[in-house]
Amino acid sequence: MILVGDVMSSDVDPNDPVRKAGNRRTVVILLLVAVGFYVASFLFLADR
Amino acid sequence: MSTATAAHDDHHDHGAPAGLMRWVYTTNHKDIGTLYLWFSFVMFMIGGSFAMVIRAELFMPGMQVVDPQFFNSMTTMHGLLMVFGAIMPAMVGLANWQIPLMIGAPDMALPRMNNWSFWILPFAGTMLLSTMFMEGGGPAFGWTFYAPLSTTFAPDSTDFFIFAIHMLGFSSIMGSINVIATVLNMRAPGMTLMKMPLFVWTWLITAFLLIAVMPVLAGAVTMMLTDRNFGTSFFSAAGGGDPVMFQHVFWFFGHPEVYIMILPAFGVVSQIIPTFARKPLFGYASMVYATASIAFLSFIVWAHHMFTVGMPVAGELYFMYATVMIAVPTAVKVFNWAATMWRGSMTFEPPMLWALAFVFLFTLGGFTGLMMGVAPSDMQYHDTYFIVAHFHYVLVTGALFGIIAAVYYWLPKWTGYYPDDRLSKLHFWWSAISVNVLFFPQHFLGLAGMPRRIPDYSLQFADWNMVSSIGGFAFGLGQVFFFFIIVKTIRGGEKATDECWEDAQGLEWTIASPAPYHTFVTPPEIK
Repeated sequence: MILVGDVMSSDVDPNDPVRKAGNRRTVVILLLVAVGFYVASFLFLADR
Repeated sequence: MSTATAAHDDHHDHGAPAGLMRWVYTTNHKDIGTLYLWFSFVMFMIGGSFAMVIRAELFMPGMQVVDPQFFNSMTTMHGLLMVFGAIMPAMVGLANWQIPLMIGAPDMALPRMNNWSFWILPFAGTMLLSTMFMEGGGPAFGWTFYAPLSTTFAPDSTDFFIFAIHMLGFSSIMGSINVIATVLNMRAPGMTLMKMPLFVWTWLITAFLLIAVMPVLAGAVTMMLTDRNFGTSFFSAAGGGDPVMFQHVFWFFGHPEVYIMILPAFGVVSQIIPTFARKPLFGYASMVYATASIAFLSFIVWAHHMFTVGMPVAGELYFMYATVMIAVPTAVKVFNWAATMWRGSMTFEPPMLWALAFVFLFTLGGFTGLMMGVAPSDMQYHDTYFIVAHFHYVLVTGALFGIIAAVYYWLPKWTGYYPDDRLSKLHFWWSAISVNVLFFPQHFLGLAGMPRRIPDYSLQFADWNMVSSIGGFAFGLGQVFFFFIIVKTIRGGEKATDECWEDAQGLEWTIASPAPYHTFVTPPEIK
């Protein structure tokens, strides 16, 4: 749910500081997803 | 806030900085888009020259031009450069240029990371190319780098290849994070998700695909690295590992990768056809849902690339049905493009010609894909030139034609000049004919049983190989001509209007041509 709300709202002024906080949150979440898939690729094999 | 914004605007009210350092330090999305596009063009030319070597060797039976090891290296490097160096960066370049312009944003959400994403590429590309000059030669195991060919039996240069793939993947992940952050956070007021241009939608979905699968590719090459150097046995049967598992991990990345390359091209075509048919896109919402469906399905069909490894029949059936299901959302798109053109006031400027060729020829590649998706018939096609013909129809007349269409479509906005109409049409017809001379006979060769990735072949394949090579040389020459057209357009020509194309819809056509260095500093209001 963290991506929903201010971040996905089109009413946010692109120059608003809220946007910058949203950017930071988006980066952190997406990086975690990427790391998750990286680790999962090892677990996929380690399971065998 | 308004005072602060005004001061901010004044501060940025300048053009592009001069000199080489402009390109090194730039955080401007237009500059970075330009860098991506030129980088991809250089890689396209190098990868294309490798293709010319391949076609020269295959011009007639027997060994004429290169030795078999070097031939294998050429097929490998051609595939790697075209996928990771040409098509993907070109799509990112288009995204960098166009997404902020199309959603009314002043720049990408993370401009400094954007700079870093790009500047990783030339180093990774150079490292990949440098392997060809190392002892033992460059990677020669095919772009799919199956273990144990890429582990136990690979040259030392493979470690540099692994590092280059890690870097390219890192760049792609950062690029896609940037696209997602930009689209979710930077849209102008009133630009709701379902008002976004299709190109932005397709790129948003592509970025999610990238974030999910590039780390898996990184995992595969990390395991290769440890298998090669640190005594692990992920893919070594002798040590308790399983080489077939490499194929599973690779294709979990590899199949979505196909859609990573084609979805943005779908977006481009969905922008161009409505413009030149002078009608709104038919079935906008269904286009968005079809794109999302294709993206979802792309994750659950990977083993159709490995029907011949000896899967259980239940597995083959599942992957066959799931694969064939992709035809449904893809057909939704093709029918929507046709319906958009239906009774439209169509004109055939160069972008439209390329987009139409895309629709016809990509669909042809899609049909042969369906043939291969059917497991029993794939047993016949597997590892033959039929496969080579199929994926070149998808990636050349699909992804590449989409990129070329996009360049012709947006070049007036980027440079302020229209490309020469006569030369552009010559480029189109030359390419459209030669690409079919190049790839269509490969269907016949494959069905007759010619295996792929071989430098020599039986006499019965001689005629069509010669035809294919002639088409290849002609197509290659045509793309040198494309370079000439682009340079000519940058240097001058007929001045483009702000709208560029008659009644073109979208925010990018509301700004001046060429696009000013800074755009939408004050966000536009979308009704």
